Amino acid sequence: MLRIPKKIIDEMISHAIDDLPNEACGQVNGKNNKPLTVNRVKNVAASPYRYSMDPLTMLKLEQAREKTGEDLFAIYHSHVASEAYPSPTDIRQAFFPPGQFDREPMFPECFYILVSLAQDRPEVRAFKIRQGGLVEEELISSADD
Amino acid sequence: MATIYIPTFFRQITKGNEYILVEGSNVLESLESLSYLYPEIRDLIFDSNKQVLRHVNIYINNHEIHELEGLDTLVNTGDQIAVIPALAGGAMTLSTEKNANQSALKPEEVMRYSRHIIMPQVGPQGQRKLRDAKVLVVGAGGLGGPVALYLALAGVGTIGITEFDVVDLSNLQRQILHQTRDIDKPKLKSAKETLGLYNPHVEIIEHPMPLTSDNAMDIIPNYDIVVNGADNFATRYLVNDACYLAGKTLVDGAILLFDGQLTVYKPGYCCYRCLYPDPPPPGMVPSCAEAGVLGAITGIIGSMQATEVFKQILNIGEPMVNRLLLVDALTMQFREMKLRRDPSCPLCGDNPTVKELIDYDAFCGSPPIEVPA
Repeated sequence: MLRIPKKIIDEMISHAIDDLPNEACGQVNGKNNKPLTVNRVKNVAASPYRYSMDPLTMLKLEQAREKTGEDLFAIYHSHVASEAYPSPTDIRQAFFPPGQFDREPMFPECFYILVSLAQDRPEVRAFKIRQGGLVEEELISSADD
Repeated sequence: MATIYIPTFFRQITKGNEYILVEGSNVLESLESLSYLYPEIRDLIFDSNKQVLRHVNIYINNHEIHELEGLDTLVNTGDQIAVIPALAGGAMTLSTEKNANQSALKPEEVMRYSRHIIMPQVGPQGQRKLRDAKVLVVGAGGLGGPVALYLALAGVGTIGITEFDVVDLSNLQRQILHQTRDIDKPKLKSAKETLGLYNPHVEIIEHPMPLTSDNAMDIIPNYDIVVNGADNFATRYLVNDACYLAGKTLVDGAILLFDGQLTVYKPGYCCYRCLYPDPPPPGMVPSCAEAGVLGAITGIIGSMQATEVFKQILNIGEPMVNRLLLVDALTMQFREMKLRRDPSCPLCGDNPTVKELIDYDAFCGSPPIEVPA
C-alpha cells in the first residue's frame, strides 16, 4: 500500500490537465520513502501519445536531490485517452537501453505513477517496473500532513 | 581535463562515483576515457558505429552537444559533461494512435462489465477487444437467442443477425429473445428490441434474409467470427463452406430432442464437411419441428457457443477446435470426440473440389427455404 498526500496527487492531476492535449510528465522527490514535492518536467516529445522528459531539467533535479539528500520517489506521466496503466512502451523505456529486459530497469525502487484523463474523473495508479514484470501498488490518497 | 557527471543509473558501473575526471580534448575523447576506465559503460553510450545511442543525451555545461559541435565539441579544463539516459514512454505504439480516443472505456462501460474486466484473462484490454469485435449470428431462434444475448450482455460491439422468419407461438417454449407480445412480429425486429433493452451500447446489424449462396460472401467477410444457429442442413453446409472460403472461424452448435453438439471450425482444422462429407438423405433426420427439442438444451449449447466466441476474441483457453462435444441432457453426460481435418475433404482437403459456393438446396435435396411475404 502506498500513501500519497492528496495535495501531491492533485498537483499531478493539475499538471496532466494543464498539458492537454499532450501527455504531461514529471518527477516526485521524496525522502525516507515519503513523497515531498512534485516537479513538472517539460515533455519534449510534446505528443498526446508520447513523453520524453527534458534531459537538462532531469539533470538539474538529480543534482539538486544530491544536495538535499532527497531521492527520486516517483516518475509520473499522464495518459490522455487510455487507462492509468503502463503501456508496453512505458515498460520498454523503463529499461536501459530500452527493451533490455534481461537487466534491472533504470529505477527499480522508484514508483511509476500514471494519471489517466480518459474518463471524466481522473484516475491515478502506481506501479513498480521490475526486471520480472510489473507490480501495482495500491495507492491511497492520504490527508495532508 | 573535464568532469563527467554520472547519473544514478550508471553509478552501478562507476562503483558509486558520481563525478569522474577524464582526459580528452573533445567530448568523444572524454567519453572514450570514461569507457576506458569503466568498459561496461561503452555499450550503454555508443552504438557499434561509435555514435551516441538515441536514448542517451550528452550535455556539456548544460548545453546539449548537438546544439554545439556534437562529439567534436571542444572540452576545456573545468567543463562539466553529463550523460543522461532518456526518461520516456507513451500511451501506445504508433500503429494504434489513431484509435486512441475510441479505445478508452467509458465509466459506465467499466462498471457494466466490471465482473468481466476484473478477471485477468479479460481486463480492460480484453473488454476493448470484445467491443471491437464483429460477430455474425446465423438465426435468431433457439441457439441464436442465447448466443446473441450473452454476446450483447458482454459488450461485443457489433452483432449481425441473419433471420427472415416471424415469431410463432410454438417458438416461445425456447426462444428467449421473443415474448408473447412479439407473436407475428419479424424475429429480427423482436431480437433487436430485446438486445437493445439489455445493452444499448451494442450495435445490432440486421440481415433480414436467409443466408444464401448469393449473399453469403457479401455478409460473412464483414465479421470476425460466425456463430451457427441454423436449423437445416443446407444452411449448415453453406455456412461451413462460406466461412472456410472467407477464412473465418465458425462456432457451430446443433440441438435435437434432449441432445446437443458443439464444435469450432477454423480454417486449417476439421470442418463440417470433414465430419459429414455428404448430407443425410432428405427426411432421414427429423427437424426440431418434427421431433421436438428441449427448450433448456438451446440455452446450454447456445451459452457454450457464446463462451467459445469469447475465447476466440480474447484468445484465451483451449478452443473446441478439432473437438466435438456431445451433450445428452437425459443422462447429463458430456462426451468429447477428437476430430481431424480430412485430407480428402472436398472443401478443405489437399485437392479441394468445392472452390466456391454451390446450390445447397440441390445438394441436400431439400426444398428451398420459403421466405414469408
